Amino acid sequence: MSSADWIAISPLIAVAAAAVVVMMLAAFWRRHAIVAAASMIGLAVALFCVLPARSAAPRMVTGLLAIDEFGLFYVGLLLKGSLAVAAVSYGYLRARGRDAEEYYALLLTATLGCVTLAVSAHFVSFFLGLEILSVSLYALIAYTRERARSIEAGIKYLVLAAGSAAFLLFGMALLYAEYGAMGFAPLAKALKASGGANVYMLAGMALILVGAGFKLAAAPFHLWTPDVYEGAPAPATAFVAGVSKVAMAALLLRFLTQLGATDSRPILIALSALAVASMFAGNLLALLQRNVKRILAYSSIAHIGYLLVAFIAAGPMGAEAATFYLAAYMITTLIAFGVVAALSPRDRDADAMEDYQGLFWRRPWMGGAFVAALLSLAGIPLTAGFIGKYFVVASGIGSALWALVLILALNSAIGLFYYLRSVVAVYARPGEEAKAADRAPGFSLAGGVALAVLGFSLILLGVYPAPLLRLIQTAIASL
Amino acid sequence: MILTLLILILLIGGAAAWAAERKSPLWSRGIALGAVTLDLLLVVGQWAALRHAPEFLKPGAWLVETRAEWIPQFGVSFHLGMDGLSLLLLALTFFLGALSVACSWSEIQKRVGFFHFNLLWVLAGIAGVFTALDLFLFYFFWEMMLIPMYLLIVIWGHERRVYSAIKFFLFTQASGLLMLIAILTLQFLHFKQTGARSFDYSDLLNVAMTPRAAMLLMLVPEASLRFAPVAMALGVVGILYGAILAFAQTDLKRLVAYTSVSHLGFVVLGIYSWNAWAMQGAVMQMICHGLSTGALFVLVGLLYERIHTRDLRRMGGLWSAAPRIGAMAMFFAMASLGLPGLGNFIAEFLVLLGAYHVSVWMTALAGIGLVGATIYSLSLMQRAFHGPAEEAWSFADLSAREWAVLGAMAAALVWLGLYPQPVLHAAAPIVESLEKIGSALPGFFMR
Amino acid sequence: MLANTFTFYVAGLVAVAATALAITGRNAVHALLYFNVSLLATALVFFTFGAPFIAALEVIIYAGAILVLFLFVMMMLNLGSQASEREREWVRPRVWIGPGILAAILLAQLAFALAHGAGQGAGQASIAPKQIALALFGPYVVGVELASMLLLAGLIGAFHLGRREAPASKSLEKGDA
Repeated sequence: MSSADWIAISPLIAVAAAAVVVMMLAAFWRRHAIVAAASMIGLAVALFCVLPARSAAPRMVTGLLAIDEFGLFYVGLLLKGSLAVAAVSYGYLRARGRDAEEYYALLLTATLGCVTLAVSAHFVSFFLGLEILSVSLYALIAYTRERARSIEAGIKYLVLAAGSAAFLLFGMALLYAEYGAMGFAPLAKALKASGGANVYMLAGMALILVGAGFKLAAAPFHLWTPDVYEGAPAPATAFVAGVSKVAMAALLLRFLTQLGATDSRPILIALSALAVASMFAGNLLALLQRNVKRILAYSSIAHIGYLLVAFIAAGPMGAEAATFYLAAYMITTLIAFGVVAALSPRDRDADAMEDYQGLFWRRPWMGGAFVAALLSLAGIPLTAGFIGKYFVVASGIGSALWALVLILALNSAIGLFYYLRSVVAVYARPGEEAKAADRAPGFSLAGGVALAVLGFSLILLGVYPAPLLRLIQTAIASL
Repeated sequence: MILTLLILILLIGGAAAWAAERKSPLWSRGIALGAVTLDLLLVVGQWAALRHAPEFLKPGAWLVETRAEWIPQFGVSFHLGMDGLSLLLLALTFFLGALSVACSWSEIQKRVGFFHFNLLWVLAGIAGVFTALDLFLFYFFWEMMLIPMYLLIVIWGHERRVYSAIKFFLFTQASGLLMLIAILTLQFLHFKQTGARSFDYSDLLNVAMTPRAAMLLMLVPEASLRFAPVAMALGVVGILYGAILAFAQTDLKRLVAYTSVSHLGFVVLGIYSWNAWAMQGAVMQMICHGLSTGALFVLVGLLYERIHTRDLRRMGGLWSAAPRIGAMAMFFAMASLGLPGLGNFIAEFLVLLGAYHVSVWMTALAGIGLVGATIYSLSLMQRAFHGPAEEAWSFADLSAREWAVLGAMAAALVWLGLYPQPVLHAAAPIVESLEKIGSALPGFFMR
Repeated sequence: MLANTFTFYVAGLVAVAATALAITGRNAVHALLYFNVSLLATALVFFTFGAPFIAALEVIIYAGAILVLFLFVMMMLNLGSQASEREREWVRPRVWIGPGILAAILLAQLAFALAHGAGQGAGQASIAPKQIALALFGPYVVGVELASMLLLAGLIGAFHLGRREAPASKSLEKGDA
């Protein structure tokens, strides 16, 4: 490895080093504030390392990692997301009041898994990144181990993630057996040389899609989502929903684009089926929910459906739309779960509708942020979600996917119903119980700053998205 | 620049009104009223300044235009423009906006700051919709105005407010999404034909389309023209349907709402008759309907504040308790039924005159609607203000502030009824250019 | 070649059967024994692929070290008279006869394969430890490092989830009160 290689992967190294340092701190100097600060500093350093890495890009590091504009864009995005999660977690864990330190080490290893996914261009790094992420997430989801729900969610995630990993591995094995390559670029070359799709390729791709579908929680592989979202501690849910899915989607985007998989009709049909199923399953099931975390879980399933429409749309416009959508979705989800985390008392998560009754009048800023997040999920202007949804619809129309676009519009209308119901609660007169709990126990200065920055970005991207779009265009061009 | 300023004043005024609540509700009311009045003065000032400008009478010219790059990647620009029609509608919006701040002065007592924030942002959205020349921007404003509107209904609404707010939002959003798809398709066709991304109305106007696609999209004049016979029929149905249902209501507010449906039927009929008279009438009707129906809603609010009911069956004999409210109601009911001398008469007369040239049958049916209007207006007066009193009513009559609000609206209606020339003058270029498009198209619809 | 294929299928079937029995078994020790057989069968599969080194690692590390550790822990946790009763239960033939038969099949198959010269790779040369080392610390060095981080993540997670319930940690009270 040359020095340029080291510079190129410096963000990854920084995250890994931060994980080790935080683990040592947790072992020898158990101070929650210090451990939290160290992990945030570590993430910030990693984020800073993206700048020199960009100057070294584009670069393949040992055939496993592709450090290009696309990968680094996602690395930056994921690191920002993790930073926000770490900040939000601090108040939550302080309110919970015991052994909080390991959490940050796990958060950092999970982040390492995410950034690895974002830059991997090889099955080996793909799988290892995914496993680092999954193993960290089992523990993060079950972190509040005094709650039965949390443990249950952790086990559920463990079983299903392991199952999906098996699908993924088998798919990779099929592709490797047929084409003798594991790197995306050599694989694409072998694919082209062999003259297009055959049964191994299709079976392998289908299995990989199943594995990725589990991670993305696309219907019909979404069954774990509501239980895991509900059981996991709110900041961990924020990470699962907001950050880990973005990483998986980034990898899938690179994989499908590099292999030219979206030119293959069967794969397009499979993706379309996933998209339609996710949209309907997510939105219709969300209508039945009263638990805020479950509503958000089903809503995230629907959003994966919208995202897949952009995946199906051909050309750079689809990839750009997907990337913008993911950025908007990450910000939105982190705000929503950040507010849930901030409102959570010591022994449970604030996931009942009653917890949000009249929130706007009790804590205007937090209520406002929550409403902004809901409106962004619904795709209403002035929020990033609107531009994202617009972009997805535009890319769909650009590829003449009329049926998908109409289904998307229909589903947006269904989705409004449950988003609005939650908005009504936030603006309702505060109930008596809510008045008694007129506090945000899980609120901390760091979390507040993170929420403020996220909220500001949400509005900024909704009103003036041009700079981010420019960045995304360069990123996609490098793919 | 003035157009951006109009919107900015409202946006900033709204935020300031919210922030000022901490000091005193009076401050937020004052700030809101000030912001809207300032906008009204600016628009009227523009009107006065531009009235004699040559482009005022030139069809297809913008009196004021602002353009800035916004999202170049999508081909979206911040493009606002004002012609005679938008001038009129802006003036109407700000006039009614100022009056609604004034008439909520005592009715809204909780969360005053946030109320005015929402109200001003709705007005900003409406001003944007009236002036946007970029279809993306148009959609943006259109959707932006829905959220504060929704909040106004949810927080300050009366019974069943959550239900009606969600219904309102779902309907407008779902139809908005279809509109978005149509806009995007137009933009996509334009992109395929010219290779440039643009949402500009003038660019998209020139997109060549198959007739079927044009029918589906229906955003451009030619397509609308093909749709005209159906639309005229819908307008007539609206007139009659609104009138009949209005008569059947027992809730005063619902009654007024259905009269509004009936009045808007005239607007639709007028627009799709597609000649100068009818379209002028439609413009007049938009303005007069805004004033007369707005005033009736204000009166409903006044009464509700005093007697806490809107049920017509419980009313009756209110005149003796509050003769001034009764007189005002009488005045606006007369306006609503189209009494000569008031603005609505001019509007409906012009619409019918224009429609007569297109279809005698439709005109005759719409004329029946006028009879219906007379019936529901008089029955409203009869049931609410005359007749036997169900209870011994005793409440305060109009206050000076309410006098001022209703008086201003009444004066505007009288002015429009006696001297409609300024409005007709301002709307003339638009009407003329639309008429030209109509006559250019081979007439399977023009008789 | 044929010997290889035959061995592959027999070993594969044994692996599937043993794994299924391991998952469905109600008795933990019983399940572990089946799991052990499954690992041995997998080692044999590796062997037929021409990867004797990996096969040896599989036997030494997984079957030898890790599972035996599991067994020890399980037995050590069950102390007392009741436990000794249960342990007597464990050494009854009913428990070990199934895994024993499967292991015997594997042994027979291995002997057969060696006799017929299998394991020389299905068309390719067998891979020596040196090649593996060169690959791991050459093109796949990033993968090795990532795997180490994977283990770290697992370690921290296991530490947190498995640790004994303690009264609210002192550090928090000191640090953040």
